[in-house]
Amino acid sequence: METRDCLASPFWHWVLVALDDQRRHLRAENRGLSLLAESSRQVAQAGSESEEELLETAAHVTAAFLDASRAYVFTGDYQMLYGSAASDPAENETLRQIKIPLNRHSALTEMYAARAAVTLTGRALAELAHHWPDLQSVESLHLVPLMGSTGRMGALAIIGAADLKLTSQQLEFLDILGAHVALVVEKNRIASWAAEEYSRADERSDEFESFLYAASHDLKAPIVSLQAFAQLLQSEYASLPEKEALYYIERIESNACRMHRLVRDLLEYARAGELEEAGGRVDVEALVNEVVAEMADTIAANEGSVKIAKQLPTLLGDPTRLREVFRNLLENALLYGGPRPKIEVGGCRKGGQARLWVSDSGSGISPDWQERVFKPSARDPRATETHPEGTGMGLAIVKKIVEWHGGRIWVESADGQGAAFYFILPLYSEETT
Amino acid sequence: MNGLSALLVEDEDDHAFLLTRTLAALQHHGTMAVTRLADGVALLEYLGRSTRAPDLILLDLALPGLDGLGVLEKLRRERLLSSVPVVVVSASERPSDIRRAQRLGAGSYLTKPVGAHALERALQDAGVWSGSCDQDA
Repeated sequence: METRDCLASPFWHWVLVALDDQRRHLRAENRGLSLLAESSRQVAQAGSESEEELLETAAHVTAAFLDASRAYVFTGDYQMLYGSAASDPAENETLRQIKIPLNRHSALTEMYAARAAVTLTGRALAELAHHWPDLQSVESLHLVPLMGSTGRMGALAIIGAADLKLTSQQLEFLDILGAHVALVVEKNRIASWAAEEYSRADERSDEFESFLYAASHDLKAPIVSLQAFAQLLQSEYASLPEKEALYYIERIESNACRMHRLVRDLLEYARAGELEEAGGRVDVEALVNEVVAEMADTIAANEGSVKIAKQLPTLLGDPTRLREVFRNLLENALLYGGPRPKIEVGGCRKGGQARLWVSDSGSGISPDWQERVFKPSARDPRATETHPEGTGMGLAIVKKIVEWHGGRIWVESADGQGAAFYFILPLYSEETT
Repeated sequence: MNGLSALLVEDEDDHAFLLTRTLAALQHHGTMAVTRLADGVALLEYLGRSTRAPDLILLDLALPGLDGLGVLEKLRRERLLSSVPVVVVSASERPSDIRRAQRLGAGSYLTKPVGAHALERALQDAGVWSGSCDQDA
C-alpha cells in the first residue's frame, strides 16, 4: 500500500517515465544496431559478387535500414560522381545516365573536405537537380561520402519522403554503413586488380618461358652443327679429301654466322623496349629514304624495288628505334616478297594518329600465321624452307618497338596476294612539344 | 641384297647431312638406304605413297608445321606403322620432351649431336638389324 502511494507520487512517476523512455531508447538502439549489423553482413556477403551487384546490395540495405526511403549509390573520383545503383532496380537505368561534376557544387566538395555527411535542401538541392532531374520533386537529400584509402570513391544518397527525419542515431549508423560500403568496394577492386595482375604476370611468364625455349633451341641448332663438323675435321683430319674438308669449314663458318645473326637479333629484341633517344619529331619520309639508301645493295641483290609514298605523316617517337622498325619491315619484305619483290611504303593520318604500312608482292601469310609471325623465334614453315637465313626475330622486334611507342601493328594478307604490315604510331604536332 | 630402308625426318640440312654420315659409318651391320624428309607432313605423305613400311624412322622433334610429337601421335594410330621402330633425334634435353616422346612410342631418344656409338646402340635396342642381318647375330 505504502509503495503504491509512494509510486503514485510525482517524483516516482517522473522516475518511471524516465526509465520507460530509456528502455524504449535502448530498444530502438538495439533494433538500429541489429539492422546495421544485418546490413553490414549483407554488404560484406555481396563483396564476393561483381561490383555492380555489390553496389545494388548497398543501395538496397541502405533503403531498408531507413524504412522505405529511396537510396542510391554513386561512384566516382575527384571530378565526378556517377550514378551506379538504386535501391529500386527499376531506377537503375536512368540513374546510370547521371553524372554530377563535383567542382560545380561547393556543398559536395565541402562534404568531401570534412569527410562528413550533409543534408541538402533549398538552393543547394535545386542546383544539383540540373544533373539529377529526380531531385526536383524532393525536399531533402542526405549524402554520405564514401572514402577509400586513396580518397573519394563516391557517395550514398538518400532521398526521404517529405517527412523523413533522420535521428542522430540513424545518421551515425549511416556513417558507419557508408564507411563499411567504401571498405568492401575498395577491397573488391583491389582483389580483382590483383587477380588480373596475377593472370597477366602468369601469361607473361608463360610467354617468356616459351620464348626462352624457342630462342635456346634456335641457338642450339647451329651449335650442334658447329660442334659436329669441328669434331669430324679433328678426327678425320688425316684421311679427309680436301674438297670435303673445305665443305666442313664452310659449314662451320656458315653456322657461326647464323649464331651471330641470332645473338644480334636477340640483343636487339631485348633492347627494343629501351629508350635510345628522347621522343621527338621524326620525319618518316626522310627516315625511310635513308634506310632504303643504306639497304641499296641488299635491294639490288634481291632485284627488288621500293616505292615510297610522298607526304608521309610526321611522327612523335624515338628516331633510332623507328629506323629499326622500317629496316626490319623492309628486310622482311625483301626476304618474303617473292622473286623481284615490289615493296611499297605508305602512310596517312587517321583519327589523330599516323597509320603507316609496308607491303610486298610475295606469296602472302596464311591466316593462322598472321598473329604468330610477331612472336619471337616463330617462323612460318614456308618461310623456313625458302629462307633459312631469317632468324624469326625481326617482326617481334618491330612489334615491341611499335608497342613501346603506344602503337599497334597487324598484318593483312591473302594467299598469293602479298602481305601488308600496318602500324599505328603517335603523330607529331606542334602542341606536343 | 636385301638392304634396310630408313626415313630421316629433319628440317636442318646440316643435321641431316651429319646424321646420314653417322649412319653410313654403321654400314658394317648391313646396307641402309636413307630417304630424307624435311618435315612431318612430308613424312606422312611419303608413307601414304609407299607400298612398304620402312625399317626405321629417325625423327627430329622441332619441325616446322607438324612437329615430331605430332608425328608420333599420328604414327601410333596407324596399325601398319605402329610397329616401325622410331628413334627420336633432337636437340632438346627437356625431360618433358623425352617423357612425351617415350610415352608416344619412341623406342629411343638421342640428343644432338649424335655419336656413332650412341646411334649404334639405339638401333640395336630398336631391333633394326635383328632378323634381317646375319652378321650381327
